[in-house]
Amino acid sequence: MLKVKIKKQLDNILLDIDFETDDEILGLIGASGSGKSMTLKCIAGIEKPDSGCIMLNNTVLFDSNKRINLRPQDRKIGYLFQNYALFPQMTVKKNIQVSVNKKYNKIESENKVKQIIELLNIKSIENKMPNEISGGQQQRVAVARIIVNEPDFLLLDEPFSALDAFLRWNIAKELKSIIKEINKKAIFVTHSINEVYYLCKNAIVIDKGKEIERNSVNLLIENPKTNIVKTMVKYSDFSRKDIDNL
Amino acid sequence: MDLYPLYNSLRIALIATVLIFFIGIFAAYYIAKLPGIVKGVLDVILTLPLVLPPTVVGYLLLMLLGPRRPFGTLINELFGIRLVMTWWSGIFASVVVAFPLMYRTARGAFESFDENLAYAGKTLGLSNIYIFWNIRMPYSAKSMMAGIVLAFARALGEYGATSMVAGYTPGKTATISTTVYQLWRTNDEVGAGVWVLINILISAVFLLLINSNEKRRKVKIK
Repeated sequence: MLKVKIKKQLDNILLDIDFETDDEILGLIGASGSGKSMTLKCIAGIEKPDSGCIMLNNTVLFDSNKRINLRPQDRKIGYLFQNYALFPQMTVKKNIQVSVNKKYNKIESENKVKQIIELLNIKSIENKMPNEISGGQQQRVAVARIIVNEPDFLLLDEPFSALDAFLRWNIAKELKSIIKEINKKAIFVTHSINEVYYLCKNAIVIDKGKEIERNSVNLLIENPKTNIVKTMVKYSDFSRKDIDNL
Repeated sequence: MDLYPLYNSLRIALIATVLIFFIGIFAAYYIAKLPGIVKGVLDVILTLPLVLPPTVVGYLLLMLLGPRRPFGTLINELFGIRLVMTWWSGIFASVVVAFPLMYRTARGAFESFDENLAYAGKTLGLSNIYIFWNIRMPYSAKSMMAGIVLAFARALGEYGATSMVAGYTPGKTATISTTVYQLWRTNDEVGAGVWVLINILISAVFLLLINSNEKRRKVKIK
């Protein structure tokens, strides 16, 4: 269970978000600059809200009244960045090694690395540098890094937008099954209603820092209440049949 | 031939470069995070030695460190150490004069850093110190190397402030640059020429080492 109720003044908008989720993957849709990425950064502890509170399961991550503000290192939240943010001076393997949860000793941690490299099928690229592998492979490494860190919750920040259309759905399919396998709840941020349809049951639509619609994805698509969502659906080249067949 | 100036110049430049490296990167890192106005003011102050004549820096250093000035007196009373007209006085002069080169280079390098890498490190539980030394610094390694080279070269060649703060005492405070001037002034053209050649040789070897090191790195990454 993740509870988020935060306010933060940004350059030109006031971010004012309030939601609770226990979904497998909750969708957060909005145009660029709507505040959706900032919301994730606040949850991860990278940015500090002006006020409010954030709770994960029974842990308070942030509470402006009680002056609680856990460091990102202590929040146990995995963050998948849009450009994957792999450490460019480290090999694929080293990227994963440094991310293994610190509770494991050396031998256990080596085993974790081995397991995840096999699970995600990246053995052949383990000695390469991040700039030598494809976008899809980079995402796999980024996911591997998060999994060995064993977070309690995942934040997915437009993870497919750096991939070309051809790859996008394959990678989405892969990510969906991985999330299911590791059994972690997640928030998925995107501007694509198609991706939300594929990955999420429910979604929140954000515009200019505020929630404008919240519903099951099916209802959002069939019966959009706001013009913004109507436009989103209209221009999405929507073929639910194709997505269902993935 | 008395090689003391060579030894003295090298130790001053080396110690100064090590100090400049650490002070420079930390100043660059923390000042970059400060609010606009404070950052602007500190930036100007820390870059000033780059554009001021070294004699002006020397004057200011003497005002601060001189034996009859408050700070100089304090150190003398506390530790019995004189800060000027000793061999280590050259370190103060070199640090101040060469500092902006490291500071500016490090600032530029830190500003071009992809902050998402640090964020990713934090969410993966890596400590801020680990992120600084293993992600931020390697990312900027090339620029940092350039900063070190520039600072060392400048420290080795420092003359104006050094001659004011450390003076020229053969076998005590003489450096290559002050020796060249002293020998030239006393009509020893050949002696000055020898030290000019030594200086050129050191700088060339130093630059060659850096260049070959960079080439090796490239091959290794490929």
